[in-house]
Amino acid sequence: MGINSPNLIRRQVLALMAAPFVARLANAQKKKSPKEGKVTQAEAVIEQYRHGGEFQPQTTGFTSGASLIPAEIDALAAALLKEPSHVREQIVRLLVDLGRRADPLFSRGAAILRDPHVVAALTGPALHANDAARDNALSLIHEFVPASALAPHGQTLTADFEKFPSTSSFLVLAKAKPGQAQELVRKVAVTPRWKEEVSARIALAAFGDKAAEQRFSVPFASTQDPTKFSSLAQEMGWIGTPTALKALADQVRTGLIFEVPNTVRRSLRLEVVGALSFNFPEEPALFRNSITSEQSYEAVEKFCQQHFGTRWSKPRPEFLINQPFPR
Amino acid sequence: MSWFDSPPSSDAGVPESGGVSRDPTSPVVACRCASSLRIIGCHAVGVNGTIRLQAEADCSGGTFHWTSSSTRVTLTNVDSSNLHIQAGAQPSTGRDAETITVQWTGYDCSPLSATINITVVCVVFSESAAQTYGYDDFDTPPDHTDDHVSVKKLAATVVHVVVTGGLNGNELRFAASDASIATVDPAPAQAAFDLTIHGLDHNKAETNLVASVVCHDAVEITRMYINVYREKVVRAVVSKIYDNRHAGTTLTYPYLDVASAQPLINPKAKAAVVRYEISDHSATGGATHVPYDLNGDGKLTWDIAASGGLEFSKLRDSFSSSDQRIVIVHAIESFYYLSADAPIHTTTITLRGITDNNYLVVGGSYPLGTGANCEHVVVQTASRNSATVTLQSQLRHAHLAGDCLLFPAGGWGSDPIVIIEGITTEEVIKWTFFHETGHAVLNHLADLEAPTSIMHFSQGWTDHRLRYKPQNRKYSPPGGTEIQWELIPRT
Repeated sequence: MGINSPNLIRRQVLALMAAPFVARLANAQKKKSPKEGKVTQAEAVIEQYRHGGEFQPQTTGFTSGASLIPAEIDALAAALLKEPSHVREQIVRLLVDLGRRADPLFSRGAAILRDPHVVAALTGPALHANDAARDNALSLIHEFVPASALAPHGQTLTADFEKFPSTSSFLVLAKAKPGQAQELVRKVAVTPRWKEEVSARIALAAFGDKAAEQRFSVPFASTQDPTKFSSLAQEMGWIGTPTALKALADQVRTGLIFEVPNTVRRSLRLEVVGALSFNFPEEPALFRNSITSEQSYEAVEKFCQQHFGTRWSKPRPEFLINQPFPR
Repeated sequence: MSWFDSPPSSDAGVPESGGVSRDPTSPVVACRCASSLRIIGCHAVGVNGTIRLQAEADCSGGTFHWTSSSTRVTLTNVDSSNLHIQAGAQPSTGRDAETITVQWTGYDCSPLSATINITVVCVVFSESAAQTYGYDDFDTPPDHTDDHVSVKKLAATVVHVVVTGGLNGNELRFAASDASIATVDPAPAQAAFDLTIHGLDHNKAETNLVASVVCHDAVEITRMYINVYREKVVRAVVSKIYDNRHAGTTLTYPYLDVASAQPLINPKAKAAVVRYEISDHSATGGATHVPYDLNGDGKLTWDIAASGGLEFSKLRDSFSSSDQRIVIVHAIESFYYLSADAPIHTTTITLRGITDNNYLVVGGSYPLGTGANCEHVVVQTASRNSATVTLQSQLRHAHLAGDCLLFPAGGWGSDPIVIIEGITTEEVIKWTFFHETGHAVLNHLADLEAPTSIMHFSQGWTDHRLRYKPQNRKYSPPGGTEIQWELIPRT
């Protein structure tokens, strides 16, 4: 076997991903000596999952006060390395729910997960097998973990992507933007499997490919189609480069409205705010529930002026958020 | 290469009526009498399908004639080396039940004959009780070619397969027509089985599940659709709210078991590869006091022109979440308010704050005013963005600017979504979570005229499905139909 054989590299990557947990798992196991015979909460829920149980939010027993219990998180993380896909998937969902609820900004309406233990579990053991649980973990990392919390895991995420490039892993790298992934993303994104995939285009743009970014930014600046605008706003947020964010800020006064008669009439300013919030999840002015009045749109504009120097040539459109419809 | 596996020559190389093959690799040689005769082709054909058999003698010249006593197949082009077989609608009674014979005759030669036994096979796809996601048979169970099975990307589901005619699943080929979208596990040596389908890494893609005869040209027997989707997760948080200052706001179900809504909804939602995660805003599972009943009438007073108004804003501001918020209150009354005095005998009223939110229905009867001054008015004309409403009859009382017109809403598709307990059951309230988040989170699924759908416009559901089959929208505009699985966002 050569020094660079795929098997050796795979083992090294697995070791890299699992190392922090092997040590903590040893500690976790010490805590449950046969003499004590104590079953941790993690073990109890894992046992339920093994019997076909499904994750439910608000699972209790994992916190002490407002904080997560590290030993319980470690036990969940350790299980991710050895359990079958169904169980792994439930554990991933549980970890994300626990991590979100433990965040001090959760009750204020932030879509955020920053707990380092949980983030480490999601970026490590959760990615250990190429299954639905891994894809689920990547999707949830993309949705909730801010780029700053992903920074310590750039090498792991890059190694994972090298092993199993996927629609979701392109997006996670686009969000985390680890420098070491740049060349790899460029190489993989042009292969026949990925060259037409939107997530690969987003990752290319996120890593500075201007032509790739313009495929999103040019239509975003000009489209009058609400559905297309909404989709592009989200994608611009996922690209998250300074130019993409500035382009989003420019559209904070969009007058476009998404409407399905008798069902919804929604200002697409909310999609722009959501895309900005994806990149600034700790900013209260951008929280999903924050937009309730003209003043709250003013706060968003103030944020854009401060961060991007945005100036708008058109007046703020008539106030609209999400028009309620009778049921 | 075995006798019957031999690939037939191309059409260009297969003479329609005997003669010399132009295939240079053919064993056929110029001679007078053939000493051997073989049949090349598939041993099975799907019901109503066609296959071709080719007879080949080891000597050029002569004539061919095909016969069969089978009632399951019809032979055409029988006086040719190249036979066309049309299968009927009935499968064989057993494996190799249909015997087909070809006879070769050459001038002054002993005739030669060869036979082949084939099976007319029927493959039927249907929903499996063990499926992981969904199956839509388009309400045409006998025709599975319009059926759709859904599967989550990077996950698996099963489709039930029944093979009749005498063959087993492992003697047929089951595959996705685009193997980059889905893959199919080999079928077992059984005539009835569940076939496993794996969705590959696509957020939204469609391909076909194709059943074919295992032979050189893999003649298709039948097909249906496979839809691979990224799972959409709907996260909702429910707050049960009352105002402890006013007994009328007391909830009928203050301890409604919110957590139990999830296992109720998910078996239905999974059909569209959607999963609900529903949590209770209250850590204790009880109702939360919010001092929202500002006018003390025991109800949520909803100011339509103000997108809910003051009482709603108390509910809205009572909690925050990045999940879809839902509040349950006991009762609601929704109002428009007059923007100008309406004198007695007038047939026109004007409403305050109308900006595309006039939901009054022509012909609808609505109470105007309060107390002794209350009268029911019937709308003659009204439009969504017009504050002016004309009435079928003159007012019997004078009304002042600010007088209210009661609008009968059962809830509001706001954020948070407002659900009213009313006189309904706990279970109906939980299904209403599903319905209302269908509007709010699942790409604004429309109200339907379809009682088996969760998006049926009223709570008179007979089932709670999300479907691929196009469903009729209740309201026009937009009218038309929608395909729910396809509308749901997958990013």
